[in-house]
Amino acid sequence: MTCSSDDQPVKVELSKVDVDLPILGSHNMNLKRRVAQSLARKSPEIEIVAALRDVTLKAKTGDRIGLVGHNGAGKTTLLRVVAGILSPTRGDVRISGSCVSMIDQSLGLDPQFTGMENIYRRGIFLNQDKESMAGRVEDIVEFSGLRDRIHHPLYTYSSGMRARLAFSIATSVEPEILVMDEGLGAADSEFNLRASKRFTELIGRAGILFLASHNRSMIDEYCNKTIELAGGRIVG
Amino acid sequence: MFEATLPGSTFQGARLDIRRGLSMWKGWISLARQDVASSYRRTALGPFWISLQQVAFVAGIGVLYSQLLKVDGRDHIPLVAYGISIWGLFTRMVQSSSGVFIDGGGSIRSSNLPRSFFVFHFVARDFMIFLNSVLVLALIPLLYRRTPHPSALIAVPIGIVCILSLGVGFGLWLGPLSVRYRDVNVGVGSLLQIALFLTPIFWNPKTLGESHWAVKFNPLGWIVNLIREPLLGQMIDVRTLVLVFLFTVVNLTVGFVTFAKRRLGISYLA
Repeated sequence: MTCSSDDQPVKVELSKVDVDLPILGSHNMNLKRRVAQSLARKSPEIEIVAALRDVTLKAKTGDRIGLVGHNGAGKTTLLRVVAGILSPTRGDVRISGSCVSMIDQSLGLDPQFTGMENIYRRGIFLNQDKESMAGRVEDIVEFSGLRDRIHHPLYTYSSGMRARLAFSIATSVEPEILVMDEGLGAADSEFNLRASKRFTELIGRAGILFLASHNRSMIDEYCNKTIELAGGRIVG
Repeated sequence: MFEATLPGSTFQGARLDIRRGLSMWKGWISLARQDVASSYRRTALGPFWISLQQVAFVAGIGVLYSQLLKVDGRDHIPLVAYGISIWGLFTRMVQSSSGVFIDGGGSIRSSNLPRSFFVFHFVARDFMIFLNSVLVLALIPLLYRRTPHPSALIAVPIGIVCILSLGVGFGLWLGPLSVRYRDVNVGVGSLLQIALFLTPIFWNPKTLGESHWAVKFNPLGWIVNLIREPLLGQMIDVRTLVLVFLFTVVNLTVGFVTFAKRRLGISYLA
């Protein structure tokens, strides 16, 4: 797999990608069972979930791809592949462009630290150095609407406040490839209105967008292509 | 076998991952700094807790063992103090290395940072904790009139660099292994506890004799002795230096090969 940000045009190409996720549950972690199996010369059976099957897609600058499908259809797995987190079990992936994944909105956030400190923490996970985060702090604080609470530890925040902070940080960087799982979190409606405007601007600047959502109207609003997944395969 | 179903990895990919991980040094250093600060948040003594803990430990063990072994406490306490500090850095790092891809489960699963980033992060964090704890060691030469040998100026930095490299090496092979076999993480903890008593920390290797197996074939003993003997006033032992160096190189090699083989499987198993 390649993931580079050279002068090449921004693109994401998947060809015949399969992902098998092993389920390492409690039953095959059990030592007694393992010993019994090895005495019987049986290799431990490990359940495999076919998370993606034969997925081929190409995306270039300007593509806003909406992923739809039922729970467990493979949307998040596909996002993880596109974001360069998961290498496929089989098949070929070529990514060029800087990718920011907003699959886990709370990535890198630590409840012990203040909102301000968490801005920099999250920045590290977004591969942004301190200087470039410092230039964004004002905007992030302003947009989150947290005002002085930004200097309080995150564990004192309500879930809505956390969502606002996480969203404000994540949308402050300018990725070439933006990967999102579901849109906006538990913020209130006033924030959601502002958030959707900011989001529109952000994806306007991003080269490629992958957005997985159950919300059809959201997909229709932000995306110009749709990929429907079922049982790990592209069905439409 | 099941491993065959995980994506195959390459040496080139591993090299690139490590290079990218290293280039993000500002990131893992500042994360490590925050981690250390956060573990003492809202405590009055802050990082001095480590120093205090160490003083208490050395005083207790040093005095007791000097009586038990019938040796002079003025010789024994410096020995234990240096020994336990070096041991502390080493074991903390081995323990972190086996948990590196388990503890960070959440961020490993949803971040596309190079996997080696997480290894460098814990090495930096454990080294900072160590630096907090060694401040009290400066008192030893004053209190016990044990002047370090000049060769300590070489032995200490080399020894510490070797321990840090060992941390990286362990992270690269113990980390991916224990994310697959969770027994490894638990097993490492138990092994380290046993190793503490088999390694010349609380006792002087000289009383056991240089040719005893616990001294001669114990890499952990080599590391402790490499740094400790010059601090206690002896010339650096070149044979120990070579052994530690070889141990570090072998460990890094095993680390790199394992990492290359298992790197891409980490996000499947974390």
